[in-house]
Amino acid sequence: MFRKKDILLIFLLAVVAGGVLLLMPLLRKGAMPQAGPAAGEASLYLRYSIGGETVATLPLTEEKDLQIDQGDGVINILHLSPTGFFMLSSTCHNQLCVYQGEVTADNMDSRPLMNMVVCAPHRVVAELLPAGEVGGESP
Amino acid sequence: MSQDAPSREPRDVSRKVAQKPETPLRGPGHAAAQSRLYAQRIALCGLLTTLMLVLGYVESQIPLMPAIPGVKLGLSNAVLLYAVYLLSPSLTVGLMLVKVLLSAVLFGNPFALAFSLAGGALSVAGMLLLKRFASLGVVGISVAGAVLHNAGQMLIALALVGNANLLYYAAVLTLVGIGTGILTGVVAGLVMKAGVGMAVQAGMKPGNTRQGKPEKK
Repeated sequence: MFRKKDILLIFLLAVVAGGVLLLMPLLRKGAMPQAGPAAGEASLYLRYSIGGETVATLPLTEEKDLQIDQGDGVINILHLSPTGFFMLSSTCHNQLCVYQGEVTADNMDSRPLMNMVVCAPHRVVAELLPAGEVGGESP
Repeated sequence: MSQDAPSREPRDVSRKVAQKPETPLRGPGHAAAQSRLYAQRIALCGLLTTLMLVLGYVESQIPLMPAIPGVKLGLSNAVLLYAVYLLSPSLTVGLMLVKVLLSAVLFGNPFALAFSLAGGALSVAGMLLLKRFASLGVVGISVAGAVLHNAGQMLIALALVGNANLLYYAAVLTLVGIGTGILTGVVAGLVMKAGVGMAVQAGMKPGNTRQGKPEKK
């Protein structure tokens, strides 16, 4: 059932995928600005976008729910806290975004979706950013 | 089991099935025999489509890894793999299209249709091309199909959300696809090796149905 070429193909695919898994976190850290947050600023930020267009970048300073309403019943609700965020609810059909769990500073380098929660049906991407990574953006 | 028992791939019989049913007689029985063979082929395609739909629905109800959205066993890929080996390319593509459309109508929505269509089209095209031009085994073709299915869906996701960080997720899906591809490849290989002769009856001689059956000494 297995041929030598099968094993070679599996090996090549695993090497490429493994390489991406190893390199992308390193590249992310390398590209991250090293300046820390100024006194009084939040250490973590939420940036969310719809269809690739950034809508807002918000400091995570308190527990609250953020409703992203695109009209026509297209609604996502994110629960924010000073340590991270998760998708509380969504009106999308598959609810995959709700099952993606919480993103925190501790787990964002080991999650399959890294620092993101993605609701593909609603084209919503929410990202957790350390203060140093917000860079020149105006939060 | 005899030493001569074939442990290799199921024989490539797609050309036999793809061609017009062999009807040695020309005469009154010719049309009847031909229509019977076409009916068998239609019945086989209906059976395979139903199998894919049921398997797709069942596995959609089993959350394999909730933290990794979109991960599925891809059991219906085993049926498509069977079609890649035993049916003609046009029938295989047709099966994939019917499955995708019916899945969207019965269980999904236009959004799911775009994902399924992209994944299915890339997967079937890749499996057909690799089977024709690369000397891969059934497991290799299954792995390629699974990974290409994920790639097609990731392309749609990338187009929708426009975030290049999804590449990391694509790498995770590739590793998962290797595992599920091996599983479905082994399943499809065992089914074909067991000599399930439905496709065979739709245009092949009985002698060609003995795939994997141990020969007598």
